[in-house]
Amino acid sequence: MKNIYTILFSLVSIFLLNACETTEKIDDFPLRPSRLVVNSYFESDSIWKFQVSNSLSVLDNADLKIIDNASIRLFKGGEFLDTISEMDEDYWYRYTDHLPVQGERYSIEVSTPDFVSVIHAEDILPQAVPLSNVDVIVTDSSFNYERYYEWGTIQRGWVEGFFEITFLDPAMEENYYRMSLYSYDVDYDYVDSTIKHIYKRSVYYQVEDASIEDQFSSDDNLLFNDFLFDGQKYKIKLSFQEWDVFKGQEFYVELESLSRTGYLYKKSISEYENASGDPFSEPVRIYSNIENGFGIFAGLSRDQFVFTLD
Amino acid sequence: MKRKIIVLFFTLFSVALMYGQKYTISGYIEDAETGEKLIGANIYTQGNLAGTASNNYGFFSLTLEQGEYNIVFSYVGYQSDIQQVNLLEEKELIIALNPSIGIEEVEIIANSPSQSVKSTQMSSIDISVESIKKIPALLGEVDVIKAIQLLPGVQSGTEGASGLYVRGGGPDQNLILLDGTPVYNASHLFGFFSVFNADAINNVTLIKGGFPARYGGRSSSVLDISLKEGNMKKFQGSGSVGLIASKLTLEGPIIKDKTSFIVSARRTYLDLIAQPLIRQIGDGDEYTTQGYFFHDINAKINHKFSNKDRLFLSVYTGRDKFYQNQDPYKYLYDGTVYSNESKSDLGWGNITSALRWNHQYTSKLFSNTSLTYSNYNYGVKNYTEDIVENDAGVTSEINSLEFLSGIQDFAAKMDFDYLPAANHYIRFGANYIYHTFKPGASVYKIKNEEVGNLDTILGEDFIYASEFSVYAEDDIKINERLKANFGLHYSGFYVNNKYYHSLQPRVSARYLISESWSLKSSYAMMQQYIHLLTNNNIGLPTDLWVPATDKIKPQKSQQIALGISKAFDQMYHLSVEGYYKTMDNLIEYRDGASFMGSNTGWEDKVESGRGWSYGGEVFFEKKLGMLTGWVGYTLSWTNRQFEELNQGEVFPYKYDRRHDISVVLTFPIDEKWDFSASWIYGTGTAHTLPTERYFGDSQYFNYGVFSSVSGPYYNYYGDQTSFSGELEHIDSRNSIRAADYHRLDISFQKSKQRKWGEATWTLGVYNVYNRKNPFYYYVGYDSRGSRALRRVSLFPFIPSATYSFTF
Repeated sequence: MKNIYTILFSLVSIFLLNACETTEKIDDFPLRPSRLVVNSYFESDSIWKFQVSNSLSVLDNADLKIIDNASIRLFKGGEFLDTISEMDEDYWYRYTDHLPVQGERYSIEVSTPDFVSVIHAEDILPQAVPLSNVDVIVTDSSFNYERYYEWGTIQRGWVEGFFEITFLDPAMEENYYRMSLYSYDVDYDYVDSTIKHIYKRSVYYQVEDASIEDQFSSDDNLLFNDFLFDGQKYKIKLSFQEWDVFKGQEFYVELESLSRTGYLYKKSISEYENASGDPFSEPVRIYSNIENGFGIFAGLSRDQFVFTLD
Repeated sequence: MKRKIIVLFFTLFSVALMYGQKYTISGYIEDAETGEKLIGANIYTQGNLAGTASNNYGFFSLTLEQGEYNIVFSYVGYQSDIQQVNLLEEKELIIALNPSIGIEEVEIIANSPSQSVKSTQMSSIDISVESIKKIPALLGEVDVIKAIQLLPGVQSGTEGASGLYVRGGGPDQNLILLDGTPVYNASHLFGFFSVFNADAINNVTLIKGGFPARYGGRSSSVLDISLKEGNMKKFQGSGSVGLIASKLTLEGPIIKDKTSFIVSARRTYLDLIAQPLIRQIGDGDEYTTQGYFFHDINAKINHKFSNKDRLFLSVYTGRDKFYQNQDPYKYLYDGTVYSNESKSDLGWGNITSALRWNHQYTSKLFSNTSLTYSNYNYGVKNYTEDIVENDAGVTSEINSLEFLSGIQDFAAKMDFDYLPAANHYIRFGANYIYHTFKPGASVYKIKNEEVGNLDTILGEDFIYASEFSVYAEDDIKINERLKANFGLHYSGFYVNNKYYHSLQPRVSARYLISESWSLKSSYAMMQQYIHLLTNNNIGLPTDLWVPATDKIKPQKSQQIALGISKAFDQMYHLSVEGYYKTMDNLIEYRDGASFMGSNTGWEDKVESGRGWSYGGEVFFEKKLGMLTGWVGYTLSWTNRQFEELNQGEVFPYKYDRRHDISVVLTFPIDEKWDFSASWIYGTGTAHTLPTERYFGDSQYFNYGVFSSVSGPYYNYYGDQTSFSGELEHIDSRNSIRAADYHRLDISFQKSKQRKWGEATWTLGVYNVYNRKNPFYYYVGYDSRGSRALRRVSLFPFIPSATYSFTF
């Protein structure tokens, strides 16, 4: 019996050891040249911010780089506004002279000396859809442990409940939304507890709404359109649970009103990241409205509701 | 004078009557040793070569003018029989052919027509079970589907899988029939083995195009598998013990020449072999057992009431199961005993059964009536029990969740064969199927102090649908050279107040250039009312059959084919065919969608589109002689187009292989040893891989605080988006070609006669030269840390040994 197991174990081991990975050289695998990448979300009455970088072939071992010598020409409704060419220390190109206005269409042309192609993009800044009402119902909570610092302690625990969020969808137009629920956690450095760290955390929630549940793409990324409730006052119920919270912690309910471009981009990002690591899922092609390049130039408006845990 | 005229008139009239009289020779053709009916046997007259073929039940009927004939009965692998018949009345014959023992026994009848050349059926291949058993097999497990995958026009999909991709069609477009009953999931162990036990099978026919009107419901192929009926003459058995599975088949008469049975069972013991290995590799947890097994059983009873009436009852059941059981684990803490037990398993399987009645009404009219049942289901179960014992008493908490999904059919059909004359073979019939689709239901059973006893079922309601079809076809001999099969198939499907229907013309024709050459053509329209939600990469039990709905329409295909068929003596046959096929209302998963997770709202996970495939196939086979086998070559293109996928642009189908070659050989080395080999080659399949990467938005990188010197990775209060994610760009679906696939498999068989029967050792090697064929690709890193395209290969050089026996 032992000999049989030895033989079988050897056979199986041969099988397991020989199944393998190898590095492949595919002669016609496309090695694409580097292209310009521009990323920008613009909001009403907010500073324009652009990130300009490069793309690389997936087989190129270099790091992706931020481009610091780009020239960004900004247009409003086809009319030239200004050229932005100064990059700040935090790698953003900013523009403050003319802030985005809701309902206006903007476009950009971006060029650099290192790239032959000039990239173009345009998008509209959608009107904000305000939150009509947000009711917060805490069904259970418990602050039953403490975190100790040199200067004192902070009580922490957990909370669960519901958010009932109401908004009025504009009629006779296609509207796209992103709902997110997050909080800002505060902690102090373990070496020097006078140094404060602020963390933005997503809050775990579930949608209690069958009509948009099918569009629910991940734990914290509720992207949906108004096709089923156009022009109506719509109420969404979210049940939430959060652990390791403290009294006084701020929770944000945010309703982003997206352009179709922004919606398609964020939806493809969400699908892409959800599929990542799943060998059985279909591949995702990320949406882009950048001509001759990659990235996104999209307008969005938002409204927030802040709830403080007490 | 008047009297003379009257006498002359009656004399001439009598002579005319005598010469105009036709009579029918009918009956059955069977194996002399077992009584098994021979399907597709050749029956023809020497001289004028008028002929016919036996049907799926061994019945034949040939109407000729009165006279004397030498009727030849022939079948590959059997000694032909010639019957001298003086046809002055209707004749009924039971013909028993003896199997040929060696090459010396094969008698080649001069000028005998090759059935392949004379038949109007094209794009069809009959593959003998004996051939299948000799083909070298993965881990020594002889497999019907793997043998089919070696034929031109048929792709296997991924390495080792049992999917069939026929002329550019998907794995859901194949009508797989087991004794006339559809089988919905023909895979064991992720598709590495099929559910068909070769020991129980009598005949295998694959039709890739030119579908006769009697078939319908799927758009790309028909795989018609008939089970053996059981030896009517004597009790016999066979079996094998292999590396991963064993099987045993018993058959014999219950009443000699009247009632027979066959039972064939197979079980793998992967779980038993793997258990010590898993324990050695794992953390040595002696409380946990886990493993996998599959089993299947075929059983059939066949009763002959008379030469005109026969009844068959056949049943198939098979199951796969992954399991993980944790034995009760107890520990004592602070005077209280806690114990926990858990079990979980994933199981799937088919049950099919068929009750069939053959009735011969007249020498020209034969019918088969069937009542069938088919059920495929898969289920995931998880059970845990926690028990707490202390001075206060004993409390237990049970949580049980079971998720079930599947499809169930009840069906009834009648098929008639009517042969009114030698130049007409008419078939007609009707079929009705009552489908029950079970998209998924969760059964919760909870018992604890808080909820008490909870037993509830949640999930989608069953969907009921009715599908029916009627058909008629006539195989007409128009003249000495031209023969055609004209048919119409009408089908309808009713589900959720939605009715779909389709009238499908089917035409095929054969023109005899000479006795050994024919030119063939065909046209077929097919419609399919059910779809398979499947992962294209690997056959998984979570594959789910769903009906057409008002959002997702039935699939359709149209195919034309043109070809030649050439017979060289009786030994060789060559067919060369070209085809063009279009497919509409195909479904594909959307970007990012996965079959994993719930199938709720599956219609929103898929897109509808179209596909087309065209190409040519060459098939050269040698069925008789010392060396047998075949060479197949396929040149093909297969594309897809979906408005909402790949930005509406055309993309190649994943299994679009430009060139596909297969060579299969078997020959005896000496009296005891046989050698067989198969070599396959295919150019690379199409894969979707990223080509570029860049910074972009990321839902993960919008949270937390962290920093990097190459920033901008700071994310503080007030800074909403950093575009810190690294995204990979895909040019288009299936735009990258994998490396070519090729593999050599060999096997040696040594047989020895024993007192009790015959014993055979089969030693085989899969992938002799250890080719690292691509299974899938991803972008990763090589051993030096540089970015590289990585290929994952699955099956290396694998030896196998199987001991089989017959008694």
